[in-house]
Amino acid sequence: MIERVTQLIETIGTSLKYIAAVLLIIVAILIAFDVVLRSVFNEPIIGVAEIVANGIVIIAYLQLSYTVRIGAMLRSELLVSKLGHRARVVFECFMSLLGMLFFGLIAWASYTPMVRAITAGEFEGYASFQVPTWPLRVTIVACSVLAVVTYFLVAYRAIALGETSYSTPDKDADSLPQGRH
Amino acid sequence: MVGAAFSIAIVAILIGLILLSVPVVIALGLTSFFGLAYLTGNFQIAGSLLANTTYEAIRDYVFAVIPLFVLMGEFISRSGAAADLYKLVNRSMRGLPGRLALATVGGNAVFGAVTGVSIASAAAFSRIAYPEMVQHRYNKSVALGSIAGSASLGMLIPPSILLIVWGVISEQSIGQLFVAGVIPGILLAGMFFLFIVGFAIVRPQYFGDGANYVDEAHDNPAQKRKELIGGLGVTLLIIAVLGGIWLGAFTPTEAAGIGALLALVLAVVKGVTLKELSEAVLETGKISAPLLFLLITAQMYSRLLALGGITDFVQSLFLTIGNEPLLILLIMVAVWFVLGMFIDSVSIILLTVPIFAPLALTLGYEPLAFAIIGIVAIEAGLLTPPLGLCVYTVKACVSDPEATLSRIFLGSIPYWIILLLLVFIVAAFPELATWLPSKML
Repeated sequence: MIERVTQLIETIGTSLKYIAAVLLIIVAILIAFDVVLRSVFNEPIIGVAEIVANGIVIIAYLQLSYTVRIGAMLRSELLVSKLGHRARVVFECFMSLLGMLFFGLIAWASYTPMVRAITAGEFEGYASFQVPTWPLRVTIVACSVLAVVTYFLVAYRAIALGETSYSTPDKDADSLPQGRH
Repeated sequence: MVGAAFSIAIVAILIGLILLSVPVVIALGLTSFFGLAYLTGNFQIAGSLLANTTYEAIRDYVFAVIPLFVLMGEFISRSGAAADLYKLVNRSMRGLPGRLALATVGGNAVFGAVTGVSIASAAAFSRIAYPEMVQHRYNKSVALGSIAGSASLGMLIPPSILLIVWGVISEQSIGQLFVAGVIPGILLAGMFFLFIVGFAIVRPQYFGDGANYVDEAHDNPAQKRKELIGGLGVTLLIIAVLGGIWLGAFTPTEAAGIGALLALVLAVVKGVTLKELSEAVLETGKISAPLLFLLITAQMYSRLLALGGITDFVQSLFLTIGNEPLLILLIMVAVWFVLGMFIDSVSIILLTVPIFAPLALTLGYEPLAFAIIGIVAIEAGLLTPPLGLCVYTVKACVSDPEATLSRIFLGSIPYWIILLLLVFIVAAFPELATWLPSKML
């Protein structure tokens, strides 16, 4: 059962990561086109700023689950690098619980605004160009929930399989710490 | 409720969570949420602040600058441009003592102008420069130190992720900050140069006895042409991106978007495969998503700092020590240095700059100069034990078993001393940072 869930979450996280990558390229192209059209033909593309602004938030949230799974969120490993395996499992679980709490809070707090955005059909932007707010609101809630599940799986992996996502090996390991990126 | 006790509790909880290796995003987010709930006495208010921040904090055109500059650097890193730059600079230094180490510094200075993260430089030059220096019998500690040390140039020479984050947190113009970093960056490279030349004259045995060696690439025109394309491409990119910002033709975000596409073209010209290109895009997400989330929670945190009176408390604490600007600066540098021992540079900026920047302003420090002072001081933490990130990157990229962490840390010592020296040079002569931005069009 849990294997299936893990598999599913990994697939979703990886797919979202690819979508975010494509979106990023689109953002770069949009900005470049806008600059060229504006400076050469004096004709800017309407709404680029709005699309880019919303796009960046969506890109960030789409990467969330993957970032959590590979332990890429920046953290101090000073103390952990001095600890043995067991203590590291405890630390990983503690961290995951707090992660579940935090992203759970975001999902809880963002739920009502999301429902309102959908039912009232909220729009934002200038008169000449308006974007609906629901895609971003839905992304935030959905990806935060996904992050909660991912953190749960991180904790599960630590307890059941003894796998932690720290970049530094524990004190019993022979090899030396690796760089983060 | 508000004041000393609350401030101390918040700072203690934050430091405690971070030491327990809770990701800084979560530590900042939860502390801010519960701190705000405590201050307002209402979870609903804290909740709506949280919903508002997660939706609005980075929903601005400006924030595209982060992933786009990271993407540009990733494309360039994979194009092999660093090796081209290294060889070009190396050839132009014929006859100088410590030439290979000098080429590392020079290559890093130019490479730093197209990447925003020191890690990229440290990784690239570990693979390119280290084998060459070992082959020419350089002392290993000296060789490794020059690679880790000169990687710090990438964080000062624009585009730089640290400068962007500083600009966002202190609400300064990112374009102006970029321009402010240029002269101090060149000065830093100059100081590294002087140090290496001097060291190589006094202790030639550490630099392969200045042995004359055959330059393999020298007689190979195909190789030379390849290097020239790389060098030329990077130069064009620098002119387009930094020149565009300086001339006011582009905003930093526009410069980043165009820079990313130009870098893609250069990578394709240099024969980077489709697979490597998509890796570059995916790596960009991995690096920039955590940074964007840090910026989201940083905004919750600055609301807490303001509402909880923490900024005022810490400022009055500093001012009771004395109102001698240099003394206060010394304390700030000490705080950064200590924090640098356990957290990354971006987190240090998020935690300290909302408090330090207004304080520096009241003490009479010019905001642009103070930003450069701060970045340089924080960068020293990339090279110091126990967690110098540049040192670990070099370690991870060099397979030589003799390249131990302690050797790299040892070799890096002169470089962070020079960084700290630069802190006080900029403090004494703020014009180094402020002059060029004042000439912006």
